[in-house]
Amino acid sequence: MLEVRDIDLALRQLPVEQREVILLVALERMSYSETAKTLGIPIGTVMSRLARGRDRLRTVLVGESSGSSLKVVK
Amino acid sequence: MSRPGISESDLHAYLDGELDDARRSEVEAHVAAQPQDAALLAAYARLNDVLRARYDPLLDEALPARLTQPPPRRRFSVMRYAAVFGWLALGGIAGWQLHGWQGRDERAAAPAWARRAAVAHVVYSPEVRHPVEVGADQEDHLVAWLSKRLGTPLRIPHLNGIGYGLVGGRLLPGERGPAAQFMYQDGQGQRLTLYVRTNREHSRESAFRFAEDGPVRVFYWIDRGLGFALSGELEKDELLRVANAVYQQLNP
Repeated sequence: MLEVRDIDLALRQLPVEQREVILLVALERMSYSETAKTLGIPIGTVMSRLARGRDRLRTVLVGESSGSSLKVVK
Repeated sequence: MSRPGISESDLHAYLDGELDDARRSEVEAHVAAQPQDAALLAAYARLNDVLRARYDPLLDEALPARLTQPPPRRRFSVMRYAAVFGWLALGGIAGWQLHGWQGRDERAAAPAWARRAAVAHVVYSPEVRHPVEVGADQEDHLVAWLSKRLGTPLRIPHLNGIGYGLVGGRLLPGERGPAAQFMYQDGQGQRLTLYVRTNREHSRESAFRFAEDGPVRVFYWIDRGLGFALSGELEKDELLRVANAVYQQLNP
């Protein structure tokens, strides 16, 4: 089970570029195009940072407990 | 059978409500047939829930008429998602619905930007290597640059007298234009951030308002065309002392 408090620590371990995209998309509920415009980066970069950031957060948050061996579709 | 061409990007885009109906159906068919990808999608959805559970309550209690509701498109997609898979935590759905629709009145504008300030504090204050874009050693440049970008002359309060030295500042995205963040630090490395944005709604000047969530506390106010939000993981009294000092320096 994810601990809400662990998210602070997990976020801090992310590079800023990934952290800000995740926060804009997940918390600010911005669309990819709004996020791209806000940060002045291409949409493709928004998507790749989002995917990398979420993947790392997921690993940090559930990695130890679930022994995750999920296949990541490329 | 797995549909060809469904990538991990599609799973994210599905979760974020970025897909058209046709593609959404394809993703749904794909995850229905691929338990591993279904589990991955569920994990990302849960991650969103955790993020929102952690940060959404911030400032909600101070002023319930918050501006930042998810647009209907997203509400729909998440509800649909929940209906299809049935794994989404009940709490997440309740929280989602509680946001509701509220009037876009004048008061509601304050929490949206103050919340941005608090999120920006959480994002940048832990940074060890790059906490600011321009350091305090280039203060003149920092003031000139941020004043130019915000389109209004800014001043940086000096808080050394009460124990907080300027680390520097950075430019941030605001709702409708740039905002500035100044960072301060005391002798123990405790950091405060002062978020400044132009008051585009022409809201009236306000007294200090306070909000908190867990360790992050925020005092925010509007003064002469600028909105200020001071965020830190400090006791309320201490944060208020700093907020008063900032206000007095900007209003000598």
